[in-house]
Amino acid sequence: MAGRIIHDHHHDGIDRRGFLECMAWVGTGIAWTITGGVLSSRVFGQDSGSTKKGDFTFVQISDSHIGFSKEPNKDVVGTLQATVDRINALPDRPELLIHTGDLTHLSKPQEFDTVAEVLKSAKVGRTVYVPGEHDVFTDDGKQYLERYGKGTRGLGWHSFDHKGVHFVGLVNVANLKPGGLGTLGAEQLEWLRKDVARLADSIPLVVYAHVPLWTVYPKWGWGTEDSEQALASLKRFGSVTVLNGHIHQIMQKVEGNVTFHTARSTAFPQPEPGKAASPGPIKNVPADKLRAMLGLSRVVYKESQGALAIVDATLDAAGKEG
Amino acid sequence: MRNRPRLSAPILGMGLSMLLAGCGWSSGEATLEGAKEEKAPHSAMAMGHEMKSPKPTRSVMAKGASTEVVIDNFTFDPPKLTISPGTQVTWINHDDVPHTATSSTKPRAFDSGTLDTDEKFSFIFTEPGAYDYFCAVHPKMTAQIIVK
Repeated sequence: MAGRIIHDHHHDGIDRRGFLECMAWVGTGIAWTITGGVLSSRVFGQDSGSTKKGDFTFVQISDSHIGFSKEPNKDVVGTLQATVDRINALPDRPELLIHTGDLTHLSKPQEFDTVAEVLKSAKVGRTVYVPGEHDVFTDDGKQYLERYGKGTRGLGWHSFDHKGVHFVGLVNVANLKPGGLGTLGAEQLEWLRKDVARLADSIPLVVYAHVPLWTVYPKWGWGTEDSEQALASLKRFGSVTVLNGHIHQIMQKVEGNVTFHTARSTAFPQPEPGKAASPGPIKNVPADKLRAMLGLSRVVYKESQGALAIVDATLDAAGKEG
Repeated sequence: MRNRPRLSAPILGMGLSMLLAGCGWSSGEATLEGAKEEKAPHSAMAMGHEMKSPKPTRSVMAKGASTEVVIDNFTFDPPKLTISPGTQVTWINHDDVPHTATSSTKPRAFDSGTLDTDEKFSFIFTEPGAYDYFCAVHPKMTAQIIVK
């Protein structure tokens, strides 16, 4: 559940890591705002400025692992439903819901059915997906593509524009090599290069994929082999927000104009890198603390500022935004 | 891959009980669906090109040893295992997340498919050689079987 800031961009000496952890436990969060490539943060409830017509919000959820039934969460359907309830209670109806993969635990048809059933009740404009390795490893993504492959390429990569923001969904869980990390592959990298080539530098980009597109912890496979090549295509843009899942905890990093953010899982937390023998689920979570370690990320786009603010919220009952 | 590998009596009995439980052979491969399944072993020889009359594995099994690879904390233990031809290797997953034991070569010399918690997969190695394998869900997990 810990948030980690690798760099202190503000040089203000604030221990954001400790701060984020503390805030997460009480079920609130911090909004990150990118303006002209400069990151600033604010605690919930502070004035976020005026709203304009071009403004909109979208939400990211991740790692629902429907089918998982062990400690610390024997009711992953319940926590996914609680996530949807949180989304439906947001003051502004999100125009998009992005699920960054591991919808299911074992790619079973009934697991996919359950995900679809629960997410159907989300009051959002449009729902988009990218697969996690748990969604594709049993059948090379056949079922996933049958359900979510329409209008996508390869194993489900895609892009679209929404109110002046360009969204790109990438797939880095196909053709995993022994000993390797996540992989995008030459075909997808070339597609990405061409996809963004027509865009002006000033267009804000939101890029999402399951496995982090930055190297979080290679020993546990938390990174993508060829992400550098993808980022090279994004380098010239003034605002790039990269949203990932896979590691079941919040981590953030800023590199130039690119902000990387990983979302919590809606199912179970995983340990901080190297803080356990393996990246398996954290099992010994007290029942009353679990929901403070699960959650969703809400992203607010402010056209006036060309900025995206990421707001993380937990499922904790006490976790009210603002 | 149309030929079923021959199975020893106890394994066949297990297979039949799974059949009665409503699961079947989907193809010539010894694949069974179901919770807590124990996948029937199949031999490397049966996977070869001599498909019309795979050599019986029964005698090999009767004489052969068997050994286990335990999956725990995202690790195959032992990571390197040396066995003699005809040895049956059984993988058992003790983690709370699914893993696979998947041959690194294509076509796959063997592939357990999904092994959820406490599920097992067995394979009889008849051909000498070095068999690298990994977990298709967590590719950082790699190990090797040496048959000589």
